[in-house]
Amino acid sequence: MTILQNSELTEFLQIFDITNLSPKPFSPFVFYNKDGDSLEFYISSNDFYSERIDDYLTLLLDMDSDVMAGFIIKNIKQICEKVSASQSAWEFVVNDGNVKLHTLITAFLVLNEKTREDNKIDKILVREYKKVVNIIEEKKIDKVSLHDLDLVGIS
Amino acid sequence: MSELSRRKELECLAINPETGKCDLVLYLSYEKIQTILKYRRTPGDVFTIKNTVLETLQHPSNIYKGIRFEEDEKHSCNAQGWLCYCSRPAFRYSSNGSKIPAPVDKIFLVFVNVDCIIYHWTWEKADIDSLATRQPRPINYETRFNKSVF
Repeated sequence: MTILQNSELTEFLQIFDITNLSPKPFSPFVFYNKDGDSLEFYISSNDFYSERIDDYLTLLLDMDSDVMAGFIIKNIKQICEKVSASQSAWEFVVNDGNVKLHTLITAFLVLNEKTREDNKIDKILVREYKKVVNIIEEKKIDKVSLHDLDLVGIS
Repeated sequence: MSELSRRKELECLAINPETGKCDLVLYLSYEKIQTILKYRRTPGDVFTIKNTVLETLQHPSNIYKGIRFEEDEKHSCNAQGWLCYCSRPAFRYSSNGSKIPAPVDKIFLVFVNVDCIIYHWTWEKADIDSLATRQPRPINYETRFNKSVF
């Protein structure tokens, strides 16, 4: 692979079966990154940097304004295995083949709290998770198809 | 495009932390890049992938090993483990693809899984004390990674 020049843009896009990058109105989207076992939420097309909150949550923040531009939930398989170990909890999360994202994220927080050595709720952590839940509700990206997730141990 | 030629196109050479030579073959995540380009549609993402990611892989200031839970790592059949390459490029690419000075308080990270797939890349805040050194490090590097391997 060599350093890209402007003229090589089209060739690079062809590798990914994309013909061009003609502008379209941006819509928030969710993507399960199987190579990283993470759910990635993009709510803005602005440049961003990452801020790692904990082992499960990373915020994507606007490079200029620090406003949330998205977030990444990591270790999806591991956390879903933990959640699915409790059938009642799992029925609460899954409905009609979809994962309720805000409930799933709350489950992450609860599990995270339980794994903390001092077993106390971290207020800063709660605040960051609440931000994410609010964004999900605001942007109406509240469900992800189980088929899209293709997770092990979920049926 | 055939799977074989596509795989070749996704291939990148990176510094091998075990030898110090640029002979480690890694692969860009096809699905990640396709999704990012399809939905964000920003030229800056293309230039970042092709230039900044490559620069970081070939001229890292640090490489860390062990960036995920131990429970995940036990599934590893690759002695390399999960890797994180760090660098402090002089430039970054804005959404429209223009080349602008990199943020002074941030460094660029590239993450690689046990299958040698480059699955994530991003700017992050740097550890302030390390910024003045020749080896800038990401914030909280002491607790986040198992060990530095380069």
